[in-house]
Amino acid sequence: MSTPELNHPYRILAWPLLVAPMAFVVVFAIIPTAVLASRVESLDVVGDVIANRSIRQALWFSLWQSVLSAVVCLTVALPVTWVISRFDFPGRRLVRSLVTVPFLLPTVVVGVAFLAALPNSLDYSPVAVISAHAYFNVAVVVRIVGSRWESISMSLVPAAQTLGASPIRASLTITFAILSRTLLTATGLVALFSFTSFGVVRMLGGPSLSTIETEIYSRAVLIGDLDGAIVLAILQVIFLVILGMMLQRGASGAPRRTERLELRRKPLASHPMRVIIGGIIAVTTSGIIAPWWATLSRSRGGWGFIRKSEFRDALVVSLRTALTCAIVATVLGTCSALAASYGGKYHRGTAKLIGLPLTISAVVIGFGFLITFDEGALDFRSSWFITPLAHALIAMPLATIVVSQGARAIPRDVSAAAMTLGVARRRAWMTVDAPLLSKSVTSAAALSIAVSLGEFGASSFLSRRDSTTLPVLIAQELSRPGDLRTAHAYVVASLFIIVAVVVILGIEFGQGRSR
Amino acid sequence: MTLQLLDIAAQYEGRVLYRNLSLTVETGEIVSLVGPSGSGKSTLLRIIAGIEEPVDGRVLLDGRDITELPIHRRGIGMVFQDNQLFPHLNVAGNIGYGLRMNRQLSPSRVQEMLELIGLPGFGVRQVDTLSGGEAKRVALARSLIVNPQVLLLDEPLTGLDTELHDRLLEDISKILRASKTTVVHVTHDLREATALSSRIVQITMLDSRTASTDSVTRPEA
Repeated sequence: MSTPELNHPYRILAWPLLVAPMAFVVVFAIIPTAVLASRVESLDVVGDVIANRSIRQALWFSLWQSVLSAVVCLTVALPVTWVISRFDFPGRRLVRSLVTVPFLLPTVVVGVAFLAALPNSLDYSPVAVISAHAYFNVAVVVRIVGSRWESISMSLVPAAQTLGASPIRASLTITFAILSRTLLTATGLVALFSFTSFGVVRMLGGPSLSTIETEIYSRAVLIGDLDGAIVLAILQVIFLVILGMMLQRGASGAPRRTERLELRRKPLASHPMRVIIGGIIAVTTSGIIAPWWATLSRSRGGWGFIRKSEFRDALVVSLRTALTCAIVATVLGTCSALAASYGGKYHRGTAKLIGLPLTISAVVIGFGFLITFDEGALDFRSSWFITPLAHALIAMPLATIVVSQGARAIPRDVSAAAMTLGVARRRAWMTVDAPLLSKSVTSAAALSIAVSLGEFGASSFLSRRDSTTLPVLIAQELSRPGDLRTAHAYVVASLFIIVAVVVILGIEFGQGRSR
Repeated sequence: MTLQLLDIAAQYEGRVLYRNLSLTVETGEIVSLVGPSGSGKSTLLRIIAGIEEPVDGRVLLDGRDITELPIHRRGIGMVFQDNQLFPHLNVAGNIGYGLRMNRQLSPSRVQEMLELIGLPGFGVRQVDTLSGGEAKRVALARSLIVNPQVLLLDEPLTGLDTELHDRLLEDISKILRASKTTVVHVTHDLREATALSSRIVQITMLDSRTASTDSVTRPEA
């Protein structure tokens, strides 16, 4: 029998807190998607689009490259995940930080970095696209699988061995059996990210390789085939919502925590083990750093670009967009997270709906904005705030997740304890809950800024001459003829890499000092 | 099966715990190792099981040197302090795991074992739904079902309330005596050692630089 749910002292605020985030999602996610769907005049159009050879090729390439990207990523990431989660060695946190950086880089920067790092013969090939996807997503496997692996007691495999299982059999029947669901979730997420990849495919796919995302873009912006782009966008939304629900079901089978949470990792005792682990670390870190190095090398001669107005304008636009996005996404995400935390199951269900934009790709969001906010009173296409709002829609579900984790960590009765001391409800919230929430709200804002600075899919649709963001500037410079223009693109990509490395190392080691 | 430890030296995270530790456990004997926290009792069990390597010394089973033998070929079972039940398997899956690894899986033997430990009908239960005492019994059954030549018990009753501790101590004692298994039991509770074992071995720290020896006490029958 389940324990009856106790009322939260702030339960009364749950519905009011949901109003603004719900309205935001309805206006900027549901209505644009509905507008896109309403433009499909008949099912014949859908049939025509699907019958189109280049669209079928894009669909097929999206599918097989995403599956292969996931498999390659898992193969590359599992050895280093094992090392990071099971062993203690000097520099462990540095290695973990380094493998996290690619995921924080804008996809367009990863694409550019691979363009720089791979030999010319591999440019615009499936190998380039799949390698970049695997590279970008190593952090997904390391973080998701690694945190589960760390929680598996060190003594389970020896326990199995005392019962007669060989080391390999014990690893397969115990470690990998326990990890199987997490491995599946991580593989699914990598496949999903690779399926919806836009920046990498635009940079590395060339004219011959196209995914659904790039096909939507080229049909809508370059060819002018709006019907084709809309049908693809709707099919994409349906597919992603179904996949998102499946992944959520997979993740909801949370691991059982029967084993003791034994976070002590093994020291590197034996010499052969040191050699094996040193080899894994050397191969992984050099694989992570090589594209950065290649990007920096290619930027030579182009650094004067950062004094030019083109760059400065894009920098100002990017910063303004990121700050606006962070304010909107953090405020709305915090409201949604608190409503879910303070309310009952209906509030939590509604808050889940607010996470819907997470299953709509950035390209479809940008395309939806372009089509919807283009007429009459809703003609905002030339407004400066249209791009930050699209970014906020992408960042808000992530901000909600981050603040939810912080809100869940606050004991339910801590503010009630303050009230029993004679403090009014509002004051109790301000003096107890707010300080406890501040760290996660700050993290949500920082994450929103990072999302916005690197966002490329929606920005490709919404950027205009006077509102070019830095990732769009990279693509523009790269598409223009001349070595100097190419060097400019590498300069901007290098700046992203440097900032990402500094920020992630600062966070990782800053946290260490504050502990 | 006679278990012999000859001149064992052990260390933990670079710190030497003891040198020249020797001990013989006769067939069917239940020996309790007692000693202060950090004296290396659990490390000694892990060395016997093959989970840790000794810095020096040898482990013999019926005169055969098993020091270099991998864990799964020793035939030595171990009940861990925190049970280490496999979280992805149910109770029957846990108990039958060793039989399955040795290709001898027999549902009837699992049922018999469930009855022996007083948990009939618990086979389909998930291990995270078990109480502390039930989990201990399942861990014991999982080790006993493969008929180990030697059974190692690492503080098997730690963390239980007094009533459950005493009841389980009595049950374990009965089960072990009936199985006639050679047992090495580690505890810091002298009362538990006295109740369970036929001999108590005290690990004594001689000085802070870690040299140590063992002293043997025979409790009155």
